Amino acid sequence: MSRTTRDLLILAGIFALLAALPFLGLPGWVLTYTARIMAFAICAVALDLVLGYGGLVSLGHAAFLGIGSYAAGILLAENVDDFFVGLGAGMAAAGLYALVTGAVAVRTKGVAFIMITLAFGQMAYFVANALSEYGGSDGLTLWSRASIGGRAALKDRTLYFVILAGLLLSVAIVRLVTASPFGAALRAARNNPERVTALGYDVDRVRLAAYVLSAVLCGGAGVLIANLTSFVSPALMAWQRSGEFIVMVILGGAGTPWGALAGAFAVLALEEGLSLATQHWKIVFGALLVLAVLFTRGGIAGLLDRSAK
Amino acid sequence: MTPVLRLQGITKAYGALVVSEDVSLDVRPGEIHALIGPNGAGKTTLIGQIAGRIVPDEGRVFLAGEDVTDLPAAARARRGLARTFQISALVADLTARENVALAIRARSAGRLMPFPLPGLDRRCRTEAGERLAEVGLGDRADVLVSALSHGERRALELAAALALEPKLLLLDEPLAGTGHDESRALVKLIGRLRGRIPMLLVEHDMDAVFRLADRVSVLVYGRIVATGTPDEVRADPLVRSAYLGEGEEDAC
Repeated sequence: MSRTTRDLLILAGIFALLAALPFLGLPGWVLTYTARIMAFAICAVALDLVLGYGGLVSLGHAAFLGIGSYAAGILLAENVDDFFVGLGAGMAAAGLYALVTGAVAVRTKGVAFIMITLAFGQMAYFVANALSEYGGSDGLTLWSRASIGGRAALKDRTLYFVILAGLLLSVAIVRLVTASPFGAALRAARNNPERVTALGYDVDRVRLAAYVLSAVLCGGAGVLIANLTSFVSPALMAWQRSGEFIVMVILGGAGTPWGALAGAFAVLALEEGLSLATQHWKIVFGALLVLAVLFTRGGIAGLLDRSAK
Repeated sequence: MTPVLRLQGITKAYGALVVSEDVSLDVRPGEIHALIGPNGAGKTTLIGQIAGRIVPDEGRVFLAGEDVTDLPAAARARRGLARTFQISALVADLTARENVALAIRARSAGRLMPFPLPGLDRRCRTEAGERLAEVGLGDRADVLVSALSHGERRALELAAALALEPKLLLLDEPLAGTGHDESRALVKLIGRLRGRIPMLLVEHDMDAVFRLADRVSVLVYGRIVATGTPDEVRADPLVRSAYLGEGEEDAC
């Protein structure tokens, strides 16, 4: 079995499991929590396009999630309750912010890129804090969810499948893009931007395009989270969450077909599990993270690749 | 005939240090034009200005008659300027074939399509195999660059540059760091390309330069002190005093 076939089978398995979950008679909170993980997994998958394939460590991706959720939240607060209008607005707003900030950020590299994306992320965070009209630092409670096609507001189960579809689409988009000529240029520029430039590729533009696409997907995830939790707050865009996305990608395996996806589930399930067991869960989580980084070079996906050899 | 490359009064200074001073130079169609000069003469800075990585303070760069002075490196590459680097610059985590395929794809309209193009990929991989065979790497096509020898990487750089089907090839010390046999093979390879593609060759190895070059320009302290056939340049008293002769006589 080739590696590509194996990876596709693993992806198919993950999605089959997620699709079957609502029919297993599990308690409601399991589905809600899984839906939450799936929404954050969209961000991890999207970040992997920039981080894993593009080699750019963005510490500001939570801002795109937050901008998407605020766009959806504000529209709902203003009684615009069509789901797709919210989705379009959230994705467009996140993409626009990425276009403007990314145009500056992609000119830098390494630590400077990390710092500049962090700074732009924090800008969005503080703007959200200052939105007193929409809850300020307390956040904004949404009294109802969006609806599709003028029907009743989305129910838990429908929303679960909408989020699952969003995740599936995101994974498919990132896979197609990374397997394309554009993706080849992006990946090559990760290793040697000078060479790629000398071949006539405009590396800054390639990176900017990947950055914007990644942000658009995160914006969509933000819309889903806003509907799922019926609540948006600046905490969504705190820089710690951007760090968490990076942990998901690295732990799962950066630049691999299903690594970011697996990383998101591993991190969030572990957090939830540990926090149920002890209130000092962060100590345990930190120790596990250190061990994971030390012993799983290439993350979970890398671990499997090595054991397959 | 329009020169493929024309430098007109290129001047560049970093503070008080003038690294290029009124440099003018032509590369004619079909010729191998060598640029030589002692260390610190400003060869690398000049190459940077031709490739588009460094912006000159004054002067113009023409590529096949077109003024490209204000274009960035990627745009110049798309207009037919290919280069190799002094220190091998290849994509190390790709195979030799993938490196060349990236160059071939750069010529096509689909070079930045955001979805897979299996047909284009297949064509690029086939052509990449042919181009690798041309430089003697036919049986090394599917080896990762990081596993290639230094000489093989230099040859691969040539293959990638040629795959762009450029109007001009800029060779920045193609023999740097190669062993004797590797160097001889590369000189033969570059010689075989004579007439097919004009080249500007920057090289320290004088044997190679005088064997390959149709014309030679000598750069000393940022200025071109002589241009001519290898014999003319060898005989030029200014060159001898500035570069070829005196230093060595002093050393004796």
